[in-house]
Amino acid sequence: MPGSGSGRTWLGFRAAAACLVGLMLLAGCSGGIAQDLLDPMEQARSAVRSDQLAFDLLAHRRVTSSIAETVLKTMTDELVSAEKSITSAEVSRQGDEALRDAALAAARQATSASLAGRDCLSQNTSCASAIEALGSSAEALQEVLDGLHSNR
Amino acid sequence: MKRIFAVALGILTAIGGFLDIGDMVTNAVVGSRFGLSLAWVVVLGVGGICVFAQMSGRVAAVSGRATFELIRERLGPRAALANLCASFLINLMTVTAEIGGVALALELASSVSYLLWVPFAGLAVWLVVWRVKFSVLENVTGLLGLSLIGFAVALFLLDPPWLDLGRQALQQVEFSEEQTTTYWYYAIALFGAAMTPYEVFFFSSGAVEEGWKSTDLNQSRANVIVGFPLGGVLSIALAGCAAVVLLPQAIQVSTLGQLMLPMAVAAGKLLVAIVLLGVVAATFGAALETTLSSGYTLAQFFGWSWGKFRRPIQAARFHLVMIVVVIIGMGVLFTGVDPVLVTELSVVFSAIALPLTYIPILIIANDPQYMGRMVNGRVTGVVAVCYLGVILAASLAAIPLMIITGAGQ
Repeated sequence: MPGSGSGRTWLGFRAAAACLVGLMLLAGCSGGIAQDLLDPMEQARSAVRSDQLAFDLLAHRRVTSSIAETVLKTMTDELVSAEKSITSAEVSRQGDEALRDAALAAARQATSASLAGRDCLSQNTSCASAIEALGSSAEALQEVLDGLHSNR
Repeated sequence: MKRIFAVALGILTAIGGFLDIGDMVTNAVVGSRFGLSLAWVVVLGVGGICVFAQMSGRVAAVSGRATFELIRERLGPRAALANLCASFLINLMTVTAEIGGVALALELASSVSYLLWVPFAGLAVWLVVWRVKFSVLENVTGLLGLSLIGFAVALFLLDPPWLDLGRQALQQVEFSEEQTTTYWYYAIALFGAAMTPYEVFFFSSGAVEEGWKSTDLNQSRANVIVGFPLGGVLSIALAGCAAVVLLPQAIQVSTLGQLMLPMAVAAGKLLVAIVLLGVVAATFGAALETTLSSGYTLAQFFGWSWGKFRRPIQAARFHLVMIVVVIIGMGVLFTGVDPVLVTELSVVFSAIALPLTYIPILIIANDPQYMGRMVNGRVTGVVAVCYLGVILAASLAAIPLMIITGAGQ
């Protein structure tokens, strides 16, 4: 029958579109702010640890300063991106704001430590304080992450 | 002796040419997040590319025609046009990713921003596809790409707990619900990276470029069956390096620079320099292959004169397409889009489009009227149909998984 084939195709198309919309809604469903903050916080922790590893390798002369500098530069970009994601996390319940503020503070501390590390490398000055700042920001990030895991 | 040398050269270039930016980024990401638990996908993907690459080479050798000419002939212009659109767009994404990969590797070597390297990388790609002989460009980049053996050397020097790595690869680790979907998303990305359609377009068009006959098929089979699996071993070694050094520190790979850290831990600056050379060669070689594949697909669909065996003036539209593709790729990179993100998306979209490339090849290779005595044997036919099932499943699951996981977040 002419038309029935195209009708079936249209129905199939609509069903596929409905499935996709459903999936999008599913993907958009939030599991609370702790869930929303986990990804950017893990991204920030990964960036800080990469910075620390790059400094460690540089201290042992196992990597060139150009590679270490590039790693620090790209990790700073990662941290800025993580900060943006944390800032855009929606607050819906009481107490959420405190969680988000703690996460943002830790991410900002990490960004400034990473920036300090990048600057000391590019300016060829001592990086001792930047390395120390990276260490304490890694601890702060881990602390917030532990809190987020327990809040899930 | 000359023949043995030709086979050895072919195998070596196949090893070096197997890895591109998609393979490297995806394996490093997967190794840093899931250890070696997805190594089975690399094995599966390498098996698939071996089956279909040798099949497309055989079709090209028998018919003297490349894959896309046959796709149009067999599927008709309409279906082939849909195929062309999908393949060409994915090729374009891959060209962009590869040029970005060259620029990122040069940034690591020089600490000059990759954006400043993009025009040089694009210009070099165009100059080489315009001026350099097909066999030279294929062999030089493939042989330099062998420096990526550094991945295997690094894993060996890291002296990992081999039993634990083996356990990760053989016993599936249990993940949370969220990680399970991400795990399958990356499984599809790895599969797409191993079986990228451009490899088949390049392989079959290369067979025509080099004038393969049925008598050359044993050599091409050896290149594929030995070279590609060894390339796959390097992919797994890279994932292993990330699993040993980065995973325990919760470092998730998101940049090319992080990929160098395990090399530095293993053997310091020398190995980093060797691997960096390999990354530049492999991404540059893949940029050449994808640029050529863009020209091949379009020219073969429209019936234009094509090929590097012709002078550029005799295949002007083929060369024009390649220039335009390189310019578009550079333009996309100049918007500031992250080349690693383009790479990650290109391998997933490759997985989505896989059936469009592989179904027509299988149909033709199974046709005794067309292939004569070179038709697929029973074993090859059954294996290829099984692979087609996997390809279809990966293609259908890719978009839903991409949406659910937020592209692997």
